[in-house]
Amino acid sequence: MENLGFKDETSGSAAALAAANSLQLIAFSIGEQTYGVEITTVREIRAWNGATPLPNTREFVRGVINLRGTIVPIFDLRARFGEGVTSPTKNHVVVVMSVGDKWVGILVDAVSDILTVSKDEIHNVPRQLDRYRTAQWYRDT
Amino acid sequence: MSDLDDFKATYFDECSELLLELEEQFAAIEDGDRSSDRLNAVFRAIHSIKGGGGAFGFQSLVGFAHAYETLLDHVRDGRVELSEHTTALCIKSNDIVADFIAAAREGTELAPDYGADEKAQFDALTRGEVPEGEEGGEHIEEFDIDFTPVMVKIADDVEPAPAADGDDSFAAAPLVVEPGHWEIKFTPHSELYARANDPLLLFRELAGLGEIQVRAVFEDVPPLADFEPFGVYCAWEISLQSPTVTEATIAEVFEFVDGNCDLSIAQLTSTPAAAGAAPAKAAEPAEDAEPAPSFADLAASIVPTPRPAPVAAAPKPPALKAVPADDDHGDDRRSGPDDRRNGVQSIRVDLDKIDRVVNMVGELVITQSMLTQQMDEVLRARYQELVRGLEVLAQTTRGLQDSVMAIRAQPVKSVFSRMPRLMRELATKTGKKIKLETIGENTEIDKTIIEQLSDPLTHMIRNSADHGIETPEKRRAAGKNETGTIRLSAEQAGGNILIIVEDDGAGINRDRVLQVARDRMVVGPDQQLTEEQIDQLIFAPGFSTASEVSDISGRGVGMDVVLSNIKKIGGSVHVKSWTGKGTRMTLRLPLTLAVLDVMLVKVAASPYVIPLSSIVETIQCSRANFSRMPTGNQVLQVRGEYVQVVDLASRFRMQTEATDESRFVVLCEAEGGVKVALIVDDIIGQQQVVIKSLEENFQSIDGIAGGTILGDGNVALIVDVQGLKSTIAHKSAA
Repeated sequence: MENLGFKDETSGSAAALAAANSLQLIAFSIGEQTYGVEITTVREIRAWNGATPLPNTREFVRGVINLRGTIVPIFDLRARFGEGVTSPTKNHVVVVMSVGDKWVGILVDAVSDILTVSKDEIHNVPRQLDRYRTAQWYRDT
Repeated sequence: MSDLDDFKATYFDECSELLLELEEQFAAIEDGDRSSDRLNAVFRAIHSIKGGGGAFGFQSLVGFAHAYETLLDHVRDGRVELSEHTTALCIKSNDIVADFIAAAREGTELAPDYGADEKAQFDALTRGEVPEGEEGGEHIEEFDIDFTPVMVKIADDVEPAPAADGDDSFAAAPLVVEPGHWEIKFTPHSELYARANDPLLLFRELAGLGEIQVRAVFEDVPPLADFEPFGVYCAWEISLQSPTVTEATIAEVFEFVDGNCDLSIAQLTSTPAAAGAAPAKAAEPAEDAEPAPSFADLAASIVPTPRPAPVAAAPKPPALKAVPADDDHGDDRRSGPDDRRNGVQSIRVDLDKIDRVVNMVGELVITQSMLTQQMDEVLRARYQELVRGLEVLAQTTRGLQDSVMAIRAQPVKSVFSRMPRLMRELATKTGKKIKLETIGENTEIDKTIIEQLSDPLTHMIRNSADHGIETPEKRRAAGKNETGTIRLSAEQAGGNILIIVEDDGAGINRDRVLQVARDRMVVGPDQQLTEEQIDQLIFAPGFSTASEVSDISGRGVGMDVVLSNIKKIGGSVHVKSWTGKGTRMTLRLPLTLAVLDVMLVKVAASPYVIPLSSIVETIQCSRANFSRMPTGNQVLQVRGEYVQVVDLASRFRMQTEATDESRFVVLCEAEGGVKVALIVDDIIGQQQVVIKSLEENFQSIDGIAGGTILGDGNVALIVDVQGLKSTIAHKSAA
């Protein structure tokens, strides 16, 4: 909350600052951990409604869904992060994002918030830690 | 401004078509077809390019095209012989014209002397054959410098400008009147102009039918004081020379102004006594209200026909059979069989617009099949009208879909016509003698597929020319004709189009192929392959048998690119070779990309579809005759044939609870007539689906050709029969 207070103080130039120096993230959770993706990449958030499994693919590929006539692959983020395959329910959420020129969906437990984060507050992932826990993960897929 | 840009765009579109036409015509001419039709077509094409270019002020293009045209005209008259040299020059010039057009389109400048060599050759040829005459050459020079497009303001009521620059008329050969001599009298009404018609365009079109002379009739032009701003005072008399045209063809030119003009078309029945006679009177058109004016001295030849004979040479029409055009009942004409043959009416439509329709039809097909699926027995019994309605809907949808696909369908000619040229280049580079035969070039196929076809075909033909056909010496030694033949053919076979590239060369050198494959680890050292499997190796990635990388093929990319390109558009490739006799490569392509007839099946609770075109029959597993091979692989005996079996569930590594009793065998035929039996858990039915790409957002998956969206909105995967079959081949061989 202190952080929030700090931001309010500078709100005189907040608009300009926000545009130049901050990111809006959609925050979602997998288990206890919260993750975020930049809001501009997110195309759609929809409830899990099953997917057609793809044969001969890795376990984190949950299959494909029909998104208004386009076939979009769904990745199980939990499985991708090596924490076991999700057993999805109707309460699980698919976040559809555009990555490069492709649309992909990620299966997550829940979407929690929209965060505005100053770029200064974004820190690099320390080396040695799980290398997947960066915003870069999807480029690997 | 943007109007002009539009016109320009249309002009360039036309140019590409004309260039293609040139290519085609010259291919035929090279094959020895020297008919005047061909030459006329070539002439028309160049003339149209020149004409349009002039209107937009593309000077260099016009200059070159003019010189070219002059040569063609001389060839047409027999003044210059159409020798191989001339043909070669023409073919080269087509490229130059294409470059000029491209430069004009891009707005770039070519070197000022670009094409000057060829132009000089044109001049030399033209001059060489014209006795007396530097005329042709000089004119061209002059033309080159002075050419400015002349605006012919026919639409104005003021005196029509006597358009054509007189010096465009070359050696004045007297006009010889042949049987096909027509006299046309054309008197426009003011409505014609009000509807934005332009007589000049009509004349141009007439000029496309044959040689024409246009004379303006000014007799009714009143003194300036009496001029009405929107009055029409000018009429035209046209004499058209063409042995082939019919009245209907001529009338068709005027179809759009039907009812807005007085038109009479008459054929001269016999040859006039003296060509070059004094101006003669045209017989009075039968029902024309207009007084019959004599051919005015002031005549203007509006369309600069290539070699318009002087007006004075207008032949005397001895017996004029007046055939008044039926102004108000033009429909009669339209139904004439001649019209159908002569005038294919068409409009230009942006491909995007058609694609949008195609997509919508695709969605409609999905919706329709969804509705049909919703009808259960209870509903069927209760709402019979609804059922009937749905049936009609299904039929209409099908019809709509066929029509849309027909719009997208194009003859493969547009790709085939590029090949003779490739062949020439290849023959020159390799020093081999090769003849290209094309068969079935009117076979129609979806435009997108055609676009994707060019590269693979080029590769295949290169491959045949480079590796297949032997050198003349070798061929002679083998007792073959020195000239090798590559045959390119297209035919429709069921729901597929087969494109076959065949050569009568040496065939695939299987020992070499296998050796190279082993060297490059494409095939394991102990792996035993059948001859057919060895043949297919040439499509393996990174495989190239040419020990030296040649300029033509053998860059190691090539045949595997063919395979991946063809797969991308849902097709397959198969090669068959006979040692010493030749090789045949068969491309099997879907008729259309968009819609596929499929059988919907279930594998481990997931929906899959199998293209109906590859299914031979379905058998209940409990009745099928399986046997187990010592290797553990299952085979199926069906009608005395042993067929490989693929259990889709285990192949796709999925758990299934279905018992063998309830499962089905779907017997499919892959490329080359090889059958493969797929075991599925259940057969749900048959329907049409729209193919969606998996690669668009993901990647290609082994054994899956693509995806599709079912009526319930779920995604079903399309089984890649060919892909499954080839992976089996590899596995079983391992």
